[in-house]
Amino acid sequence: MEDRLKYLLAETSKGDMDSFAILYKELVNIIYGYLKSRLDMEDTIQDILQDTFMAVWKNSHLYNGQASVVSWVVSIARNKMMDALRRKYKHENASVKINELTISTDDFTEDLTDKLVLKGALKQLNADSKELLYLVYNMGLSYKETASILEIPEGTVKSRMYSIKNDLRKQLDYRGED
Amino acid sequence: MILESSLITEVKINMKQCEDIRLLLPWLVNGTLQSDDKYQVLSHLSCCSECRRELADVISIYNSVVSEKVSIDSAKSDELFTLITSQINKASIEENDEQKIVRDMLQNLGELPLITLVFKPAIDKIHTVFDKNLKETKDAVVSVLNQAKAIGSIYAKLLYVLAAQ
Repeated sequence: MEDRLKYLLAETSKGDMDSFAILYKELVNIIYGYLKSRLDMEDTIQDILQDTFMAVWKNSHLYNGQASVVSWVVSIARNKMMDALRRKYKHENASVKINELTISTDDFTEDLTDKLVLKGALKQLNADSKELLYLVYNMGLSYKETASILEIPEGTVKSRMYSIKNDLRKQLDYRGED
Repeated sequence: MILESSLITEVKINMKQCEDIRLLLPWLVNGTLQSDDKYQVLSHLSCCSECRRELADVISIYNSVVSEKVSIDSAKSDELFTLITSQINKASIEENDEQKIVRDMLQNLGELPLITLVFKPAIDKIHTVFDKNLKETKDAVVSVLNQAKAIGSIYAKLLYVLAAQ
């Protein structure tokens, strides 16, 4: 899969639109899911998707093969998302605030093992935590790749994942005692 | 007393080991753990029931997260790609137009023998960057023209002064 993506990106850098179209099809859902882990506004997500793939087309010759293609494209999407959020909050004359959701403890039922309970708890996580879970679980990235995309130390990635698990556990235990 | 203290130390070492191992569990589950780390984690799990319980929690979270499939509506995805390609085509046409303007400017330079002679090294350099960086090429051509204009104006002033004498 990775070799195929690298090949498609290399062909894209030579101006091959067919390869770019296949690359787009391969990656659009992954990037959409990533953006969706942080944002709810569908229009904004689509604008960012458009900017991201335009940047992939323009800068495909700059890909140096060090990171995986998916990581490279997610990094672009993340930068575009940050730009969009900065623009949005600047426009609204407010400070940059990336975490759009806050943790709430209201929606859990009592059964700890019930998958639905866990799903409910996951939905209540803040945007940073959802983004991290998406990168690690949905995209299956290593802690090195995750740290590089989020521009934070590897140790922080590990401890944040651990603390998300502990928060979920605590919330589920808390509801179990009700 | 000594025995008690060594027991406490052992417990502390084990706790530290457990902490280190638990930090790696998400990557054991997503399958990206490197072999050294993986060996350590699996060896530890084989003899630590507390960490196995932790692993069960991590697996539950993993299963819940990956079961949530998010995908863009297929028609929307196609529409978006059409938008992207039209933007690419537009950008390409604009770049071609710009390229033509710079090419004409270069050609005009070539038709001025004196300038071509005086600025030969600069013009040669312009030709080498032409395909790589359009903006740099344009800036270089404009710079040569401005310098030529400045020299021309000094030359004209000189002629005027000489004529006046």
